[in-house]
Amino acid sequence: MRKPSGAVLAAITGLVALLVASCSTIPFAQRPQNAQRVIDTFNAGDVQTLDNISQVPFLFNGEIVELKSDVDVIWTNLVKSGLKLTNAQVASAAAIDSESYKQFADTMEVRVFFQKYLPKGTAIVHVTFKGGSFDLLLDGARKGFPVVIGIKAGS
Amino acid sequence: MISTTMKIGFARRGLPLFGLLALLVPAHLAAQSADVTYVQGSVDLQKPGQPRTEAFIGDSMNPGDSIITGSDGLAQLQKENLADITVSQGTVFTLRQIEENGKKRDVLSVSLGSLAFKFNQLGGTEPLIGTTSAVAGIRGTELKVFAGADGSSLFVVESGKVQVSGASGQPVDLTANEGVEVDPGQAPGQKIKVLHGQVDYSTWNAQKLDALLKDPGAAAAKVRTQMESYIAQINDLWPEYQKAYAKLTEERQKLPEIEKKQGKQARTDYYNKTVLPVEQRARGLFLNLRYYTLSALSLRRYVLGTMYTRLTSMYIVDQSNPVYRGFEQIYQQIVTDYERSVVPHLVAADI
Repeated sequence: MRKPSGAVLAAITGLVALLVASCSTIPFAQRPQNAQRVIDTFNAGDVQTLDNISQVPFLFNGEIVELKSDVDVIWTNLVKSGLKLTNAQVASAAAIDSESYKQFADTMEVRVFFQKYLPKGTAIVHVTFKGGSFDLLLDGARKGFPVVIGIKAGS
Repeated sequence: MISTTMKIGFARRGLPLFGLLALLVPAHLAAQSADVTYVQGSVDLQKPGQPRTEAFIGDSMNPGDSIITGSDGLAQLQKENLADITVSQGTVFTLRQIEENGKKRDVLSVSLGSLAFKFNQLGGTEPLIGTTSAVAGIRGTELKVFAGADGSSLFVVESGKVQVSGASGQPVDLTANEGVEVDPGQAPGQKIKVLHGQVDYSTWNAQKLDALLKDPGAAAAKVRTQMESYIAQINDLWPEYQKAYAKLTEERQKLPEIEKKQGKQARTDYYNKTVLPVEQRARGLFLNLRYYTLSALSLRRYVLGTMYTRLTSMYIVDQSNPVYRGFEQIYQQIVTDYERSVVPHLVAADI
């Protein structure tokens, strides 16, 4: 087998470096593997961790949730409901834009919530699983997880 | 009491809401504040249009501000040396104002959770105590107010006198060791005897929650009635405010002409005699329209919204369940009415 030439090696090294560099510029919350950690935590039924990585105000569909205890109720009920995110996959993960709020609810309150409470670069992550799909609003990092600011699920 | 005949108002598209807000707010901010004297656990202060921040001893709470306590939180406030307010865990407490007989009056509003209130001095103007379903006028009073997950309220008097009004029916007068419950959209219930320390919020709210989960459609229907009552007030106040504002604009426009023709003193006289009363009326209408608009917002967010998030997450894999469908249908009706009649009166700072 012929050894690769110095020029080819340099090109490969450059390409790898470029890939690593571009990966590190993707914000933590927009990386699919980090959204996957939230999904795995849900499937493990770990409400405590889900609580810890959620912040208030929190958005559930079109409702703004102000109290942490109410966010706890949401995660507890979702886990207790028997919902399993089987074969869950991150279908898309991107920074929110001026129209993203409509995916949660096309209302003045949700629009203002997006403008007021979501930092630039907040990720909207679309997750599909066997039997359905949902959206997550993720931003920043807390103990190795992205911070969950909202969820759109069900009606 | 807030008279049902007192129909009041504010600015929608095209009318100068912010100008009027600027006129209204600074004049009474300093006089109407409550100061945080103690905090324990998680206690946040939410000022309109600003990020929610941790509350500290010494912080001032002004009209429009809210104190939000976490499940381990407790806050104590003192209002102008006249009253002590204890905000218990899991509570959303907001300082509001309303105009009554030409005078501004504070409303200590509990959207969710519980509040203990002690008025220290007779002779001052006592505030009103409000929940999403009732308002209480007080006189030399020590009382507890509970606001439940289903939007109902419980008022328990430890000393003094309290008059409690619901969305309909006759007010109920309470004295020491008496209490009354008010469901959203309803008249106050029967008076009950309550001994000191006999009722605690957790037990009371757990009962309300059980009833809500048993029949969420019935609970949502009561919230709909309460929302309709707020919307009726808003719909009555809005045209009156528009009329008052148009009159104010007309009268103000006369001032330069009066000054030009009759001099500065004539302008001042006309302003004091004619313009000022119209200005005061417009301000009063505006203040009350804000009060009912923000009360509707609290009902939507802390009662209906909490019901929705609780039930939707519970029935997430069974949304065709008739119990959930029954609730969801009424929820959608309320949201549609709210979007049509309340949202146009909100500003971004309210969210």
